[in-house]
Amino acid sequence: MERPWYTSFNWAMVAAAVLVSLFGVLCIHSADLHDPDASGEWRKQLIYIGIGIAVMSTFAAIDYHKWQRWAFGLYIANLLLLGLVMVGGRSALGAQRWINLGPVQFQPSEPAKLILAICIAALVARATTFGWREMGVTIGAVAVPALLILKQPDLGTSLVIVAILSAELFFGVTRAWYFGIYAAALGAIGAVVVGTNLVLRPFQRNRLLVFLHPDADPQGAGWNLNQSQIAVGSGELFGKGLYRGTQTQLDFVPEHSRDFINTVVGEEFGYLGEIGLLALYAVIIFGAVRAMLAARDRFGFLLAAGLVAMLAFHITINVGMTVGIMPITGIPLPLMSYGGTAVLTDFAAIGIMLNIHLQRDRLVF
Amino acid sequence: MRTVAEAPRPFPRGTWRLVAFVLIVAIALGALIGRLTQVQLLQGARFAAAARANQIRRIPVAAPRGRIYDRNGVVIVRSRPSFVCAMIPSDVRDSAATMHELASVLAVPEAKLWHRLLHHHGVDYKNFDEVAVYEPYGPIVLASDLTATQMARLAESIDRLPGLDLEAQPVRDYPYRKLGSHFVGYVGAIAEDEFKELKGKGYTQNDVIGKEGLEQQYDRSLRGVPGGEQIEVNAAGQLVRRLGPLEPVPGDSLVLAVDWRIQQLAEKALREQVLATSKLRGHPVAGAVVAIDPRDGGIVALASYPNFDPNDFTNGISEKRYAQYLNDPLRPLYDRAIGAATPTGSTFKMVTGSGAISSGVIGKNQVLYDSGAWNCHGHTFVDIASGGLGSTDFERALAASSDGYFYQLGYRLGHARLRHYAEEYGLGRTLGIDVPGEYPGNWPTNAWSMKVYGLPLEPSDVCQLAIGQGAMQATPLQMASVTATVVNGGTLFRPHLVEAIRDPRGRIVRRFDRDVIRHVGVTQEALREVRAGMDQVTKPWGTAYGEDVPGIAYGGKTGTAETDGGNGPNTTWFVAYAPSAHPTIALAVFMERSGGYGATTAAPVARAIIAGYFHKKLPQ
Repeated sequence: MERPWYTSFNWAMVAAAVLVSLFGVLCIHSADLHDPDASGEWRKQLIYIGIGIAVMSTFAAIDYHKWQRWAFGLYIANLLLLGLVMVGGRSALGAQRWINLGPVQFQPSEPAKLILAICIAALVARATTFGWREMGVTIGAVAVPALLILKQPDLGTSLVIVAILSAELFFGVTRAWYFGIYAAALGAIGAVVVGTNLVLRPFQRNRLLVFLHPDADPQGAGWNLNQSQIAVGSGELFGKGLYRGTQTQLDFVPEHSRDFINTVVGEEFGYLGEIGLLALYAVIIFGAVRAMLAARDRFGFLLAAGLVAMLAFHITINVGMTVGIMPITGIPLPLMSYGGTAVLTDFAAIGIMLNIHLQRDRLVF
Repeated sequence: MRTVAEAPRPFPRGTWRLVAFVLIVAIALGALIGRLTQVQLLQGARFAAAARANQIRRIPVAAPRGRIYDRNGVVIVRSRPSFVCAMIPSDVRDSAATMHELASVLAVPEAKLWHRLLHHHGVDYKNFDEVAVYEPYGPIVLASDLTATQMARLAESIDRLPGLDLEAQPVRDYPYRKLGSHFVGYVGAIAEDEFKELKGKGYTQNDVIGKEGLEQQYDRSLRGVPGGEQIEVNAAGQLVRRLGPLEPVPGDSLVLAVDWRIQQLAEKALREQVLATSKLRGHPVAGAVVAIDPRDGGIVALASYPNFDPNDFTNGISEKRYAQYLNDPLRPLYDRAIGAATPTGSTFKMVTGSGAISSGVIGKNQVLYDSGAWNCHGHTFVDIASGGLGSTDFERALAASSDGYFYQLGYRLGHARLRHYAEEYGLGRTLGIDVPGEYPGNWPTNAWSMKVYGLPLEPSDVCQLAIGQGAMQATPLQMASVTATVVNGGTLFRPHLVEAIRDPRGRIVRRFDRDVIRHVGVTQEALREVRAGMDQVTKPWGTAYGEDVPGIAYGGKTGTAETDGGNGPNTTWFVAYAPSAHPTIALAVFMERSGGYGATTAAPVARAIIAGYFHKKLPQ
């Protein structure tokens, strides 16, 4: 008996994603209350969410195997877009990350994460045995766009790509100890990156390391960290109430509609708000894990693993940095932070996972 | 026709890898929840306080300090409003232009304004920007005590000078200037080290605090609670909104035991005698007077000369004036009444005499032979007043201050017993008067002598000590207290200036009842004998013959202490009480290196005070 599609559909995941994104609009509205320049952000975000839901539905309907076939084309398109940012991109806050598209800006590093998750899964799934040669090819293929993004500079997104790569390699390698070597090498590179100025600019290193000793420079590098921690902590159990967060409303926390949106959650909705938000994220992440388990083939399985890693990494780093246990790397909170490209990418990722999950019971004729 | 579902191509998922992967994700989310629990629930209150502190600033408004009243309600110290021009640096647009304009509006040198701006609260700033960073809301007083003309001109221009304010600030005012300056003390801006010590007790960097005397001792009561305008600011320190003013609470007032009429009498008598003596001797002289109510230990008057004007300190004393005070060899800032300790001369015979009778080494009104000298453990001591009195009884020996008689009492008592009585009367130790700066004086012990001279006390030293010479030292406060104890029947009270503390509405919030240190171990008979001797001091055979006050009988005892081993000018003493029958006042007059004798130099001061106290006229 064929079961109708909607019984195989992960409705909980969709509901959680939409709820989180709408909660995000509320938080953006509160964050921008006293900033006339940003007063339109919450409306724009609503539109992005509308488009995002459409994208999610579309992607849920596209057979995910098509991505496997389109992987090479996507990879080339991705490189072209990142190249375009390099030569003609718009810069803001010292970074060159955007391409102007009339009234809106497009940030190619966001879909790059999704595209690379697909490409890695395609490369790994193609090989019958995945050894050193295959691993070298995969890493080399990822390194080119990842370095372009790092050059923008966008350290956060580069790290997300490393997380996706690591997750897919973890499941992909034939022998587990290959992954051990990979992890060790990654650690060594990390030490060089954090310990020297060879890769990172000094302001990035400073920002990265300040969470280890936030009081060293409370007016400088430690400011964001201290202020966001005060914001979240001062929310206590119930929060100060919507629009009542003094830290946010009086601008003590920077970028509060974007990277630091979680401070609005913590300050105005308190511990209960934070737990509620994390519970919704847990529904999405474990929905993605269910998609992994449901995958009918290696490609779907690996792609879902990469996307789980992407979401979990974003959430952990972003929330962690507002409470002082993660470095400040400037990556958005999925579905919450203001930003069209990021919202579309997140909805697209969820759409792909919905399709993987949907095909669990699909009959092949 | 239906086909059978094609089985999915099997592929290895790797069970343990799956478990590890899910576990890592779960641990990451769990860590977030753990940290949120810590930050929001466990440390939430701390962060909530930090968030409040972030946004609320207070522009302080000083509270008027409480008044100080004498026992009859005379206002000795008060606060008056002073109109000042204050700056709130964060609101200033162009500091150079503002200062320039202000200088011309107030008609004062611009350099003077800059000096006030850059050097205040003991901090030296390099330029305006530094001030604006460290004290963005000030207010920093640039000019105080503005005249009516200056106020009018400033009021006209204030709109063109953002960041400047014309405001009334309470300023300490001492209408009687130098009178009582030593026990009143003075106020000044809190110093860096004082602030460090008092930070946790509600003091701020802009506070004015008591520096000496009652102003210091009772600062916590007098200062009140500063008010201020509360403002909410954003991260850039810009004003977001005003939260309304917080009214300052005026400080509590002190009600003293001091009788301001007697204080004025005492200051006048002391000053006149000091000036006359200085002129007579050809060198400057200093002195002090302490008057105690023998019934409760309340200080009726406390004067030290030379003195100072506490008003000099209120707006920050000028360097020149301060140098004058510090370089004066007589040290006008030094309170001799409670801090100067010297040998007391024969005034100490009150202690020796009452001790000798109480311990039984002599009988009541014992007759002894005063040959004019006494061999005390191998040393012969000669009467300072030359010639012996022959056979003399106790009362007469005391009135005439026979050294020969009291050498023998010292000899009979011995070191241990004499020291016992001296200490019972409170010598060698602070009495605990409620102002800072009291000195304990000294009663020599073997240990002290070993430390200072490397030798134990000589047995013969006791005879010197018995007449108030040698290494013993006492303050005017201590001698007034001994006199009070002798006349009140042997009760040693803790001397106190403050009787009560009243809140701004006049209600008494604290009352200082009389505080008994101890009942001195002397007999009533002994005290009666001592008083009988002292009552005769102005009789023809007494040392202060001719110093009587018509219409009032008083008792007294002269004292003359040698200085510099007999080569310096004598320090002279006179202790007294009045009226003889039921004394209400006990006095000690101290004339430091005045030359002459207690009777000629110190007694006239006491006489003038007693005459004034009982509204008697002295024959010219």
